[in-house]
Amino acid sequence: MALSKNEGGARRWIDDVLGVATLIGMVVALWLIFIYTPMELVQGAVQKVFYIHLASIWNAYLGFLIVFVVSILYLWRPSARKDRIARAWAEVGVVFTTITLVSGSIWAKPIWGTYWTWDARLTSTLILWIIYVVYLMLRGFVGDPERGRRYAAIVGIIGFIDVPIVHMSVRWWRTLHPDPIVATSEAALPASMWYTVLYCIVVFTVLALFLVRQRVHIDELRETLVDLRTTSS
Amino acid sequence: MDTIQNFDFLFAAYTILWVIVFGYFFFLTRQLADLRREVNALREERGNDDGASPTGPNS
Repeated sequence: MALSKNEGGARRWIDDVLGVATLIGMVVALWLIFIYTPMELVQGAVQKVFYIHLASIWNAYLGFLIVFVVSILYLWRPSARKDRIARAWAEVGVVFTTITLVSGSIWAKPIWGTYWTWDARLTSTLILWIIYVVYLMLRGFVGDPERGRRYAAIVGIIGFIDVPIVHMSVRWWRTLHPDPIVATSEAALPASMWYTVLYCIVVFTVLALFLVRQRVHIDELRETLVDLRTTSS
Repeated sequence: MDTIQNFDFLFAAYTILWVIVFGYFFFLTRQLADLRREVNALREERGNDDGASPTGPNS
């Protein structure tokens, strides 16, 4: 798909708005996390990792859900645009899963006494990360690009099975990880922490959207470059 | 539980968050800039080729 200069202008304007919104949103998020919310009495300062940890995994879930839906649509009616969107969300999902795993490990050390334990939640999250890293690498392994995209779509659909497993693992198995506290009817958090975590989820979603747009644009430019080289040769 | 010591872990977690987010952002930005430069160069090259007379200006 060749990009016109007008499309590029409108796109840059939207990207600028999203970028500025993310930046301002992040500054406000830091204020909420470090100033507005109270210090947790038992865990102390390290509990504030919770806000980025939760916002990251929610965005990873969102990314992989989009990969799942778009992959189904791709297999139904293949198009380069659907593949670009799925790949971009998978990559951003992997970035957020990485943040989840690393922030969780750092949070675990002072609370559980270890950076890592092979319990159901941590292991299933690591498997989730591996599935989507494989998804991203798959196209490189398969010689035929069309076949690579199709295989990636199949991995994107099957791989999503791990998302509900990760989420429900704390209920299905005995783990060190605490039960979900956001998607429950019980008031497990004080209001200030609730608002902050919901706000962080929104800001991280805007950040994810911003990064996905950049990633999609890279693939579009690569295709434009191929088109230009083909027509000029 | 040592609350003061916990600040080290808090600092480490947020530092790594920013390193990953900005690292990925700069990786994307650099790729975008390189591709834009290449696309613009090719477009200009093609524009020059289209505008030039097939037999040269002095013929």
